[in-house]
Amino acid sequence: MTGHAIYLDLAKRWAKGTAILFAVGAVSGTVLSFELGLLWPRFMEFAGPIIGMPFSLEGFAFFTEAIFLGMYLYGWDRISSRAHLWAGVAVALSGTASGVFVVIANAWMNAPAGFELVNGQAVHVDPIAAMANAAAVSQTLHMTLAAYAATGFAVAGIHALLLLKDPANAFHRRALEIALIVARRPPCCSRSRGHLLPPRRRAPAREARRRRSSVPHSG
Amino acid sequence: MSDLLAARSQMAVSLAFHIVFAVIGIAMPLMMVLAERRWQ
Repeated sequence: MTGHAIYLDLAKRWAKGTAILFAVGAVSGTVLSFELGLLWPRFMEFAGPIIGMPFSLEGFAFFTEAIFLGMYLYGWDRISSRAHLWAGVAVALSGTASGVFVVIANAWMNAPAGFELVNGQAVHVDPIAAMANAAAVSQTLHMTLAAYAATGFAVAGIHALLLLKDPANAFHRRALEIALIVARRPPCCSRSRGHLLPPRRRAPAREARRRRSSVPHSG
Repeated sequence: MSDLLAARSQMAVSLAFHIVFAVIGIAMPLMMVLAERRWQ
């Protein structure tokens, strides 16, 4: 609550960066969604009914993010400052949610759940149980906190460099402050979350391969 | 190069490129909103 014009400049500058990088992320993410079906058709045919739901939820979260980002970028003088701030909050929340949904699908590959395998066919499919797999909580927490840490430090690094060149610059000092808040908060938790994840038990295929290769061939 | 290796390589390149922007898309809006909150 400062009303300081620097913070408005900062929000607008970061919004511009977010818009450009978001566009690149959206396009490269579309490429990935095609590749899932085109490069791994057999896997997606099998896994689609089980783990398709978080992917479609990710779609909803992504479109929500895009809609509110549009309101944020073009609404500076068109909607109330209160509504504008809440549009920004919606962008941040739905962006995080879309990451969480994709990581849930990845967690399912490490700890498959929500189906039974009968003669190579998945039966009794339960998409909710698949999403609530054993690796979901630790992986999504780890990934989200790591995203805040990585981006926070990258942005802090850019503003720190510019501050070194111009030590009296109040704009970069404020930017560095906020970036470091976002970067510094999560890492402690991220590290402890990562340790919650025993890799061998959570990667059954890899573990099975390892065990098989260590057993001498008997004939 | 086998088909499997080609598919894996293409997936690896796509993921490695995308995750940088996906991660920025998660955290940048938070910083943006924190800055606006301090302005208001």
